[in-house]
Amino acid sequence: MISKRAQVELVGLVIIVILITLGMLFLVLFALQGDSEKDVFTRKGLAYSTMGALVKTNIQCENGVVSYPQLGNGLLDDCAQALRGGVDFCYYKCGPEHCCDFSQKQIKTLLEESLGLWGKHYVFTSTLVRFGGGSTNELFSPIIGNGGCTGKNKDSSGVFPITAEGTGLIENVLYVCD
Amino acid sequence: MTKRGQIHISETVAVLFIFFILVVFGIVFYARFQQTSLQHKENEFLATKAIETTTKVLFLPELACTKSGAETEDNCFDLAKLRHVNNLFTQERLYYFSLLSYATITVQQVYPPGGEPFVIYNEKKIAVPGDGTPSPTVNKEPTYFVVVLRDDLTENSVPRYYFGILTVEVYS
Repeated sequence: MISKRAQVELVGLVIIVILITLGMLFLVLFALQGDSEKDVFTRKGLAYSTMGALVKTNIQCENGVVSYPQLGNGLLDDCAQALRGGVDFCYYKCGPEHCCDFSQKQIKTLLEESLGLWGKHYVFTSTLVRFGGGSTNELFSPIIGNGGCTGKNKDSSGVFPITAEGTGLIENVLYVCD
Repeated sequence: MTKRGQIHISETVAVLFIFFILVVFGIVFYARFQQTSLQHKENEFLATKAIETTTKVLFLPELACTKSGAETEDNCFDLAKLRHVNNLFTQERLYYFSLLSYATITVQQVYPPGGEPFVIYNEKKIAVPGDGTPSPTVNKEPTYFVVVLRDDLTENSVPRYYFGILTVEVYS
């Protein structure tokens, strides 16, 4: 039979084990705290609203005559038409560079002045899915801000499709992460 | 007292000492946890308030762009409305305070550059500590959103869309 002294020591040990277990439990609770509701709302909302605003924004295009094409329906569409094959022709000549490079530059600047300033990581892609064959082309290389999206907390704007007349569908996606 | 008894007593004292240290450690840890948890709850409440206020602002008919006078456009503010909404918010201060509470709402035009920021609503909360002097020591939660600003007053009357930022700061 276990002596009284051994019993008392056993009780002490059990108490210590319980206390340590409780401590560990609190630590685990702290460590497993996930994304707050606001973070998710902000990321999703930001991705969607930024993309919506990007494609709608009118860009000042000066080349003798001043015009204001929309970034989506105007410039990205023009870029897709230029990539159609055959003659590489841009309808909007907004600068010395190609219309695809100009569009990329504008999107990059706008994203830097919004998401970039708030320290958000982001990736913007614009892909042309051709009618018929379904082959795909990137209109320009992805725009990556603040190191891009590598973390787990990632949300996207969803695909923002723009029809490029006689060419295909331009699928624009913006990923935003913390 | 025998030597054996003395050893027993010092052993018991040592065990009790360690036990109480562990108990104190546990209490301190629990208190810290409760404090953090309370702070977390407060932050969560403030974040929820920020979400609610931002959503209300995004859908305010006083600011939203409308197509054909009825259907609203997503994440779009009418520049003509923005220029005058401040007067409305000042005139109907109580109504808008009941809607938006303590907050600062700013809209800034990013592209084309040069547009001035519109501070459309500004109800800052000032904390009053024990001595009665106001000090700005309240929690603030900013939320950013990207919006388009529609300008109907163009040379050819074709509406133009500008790239803008909506900042909603709420106070606890």
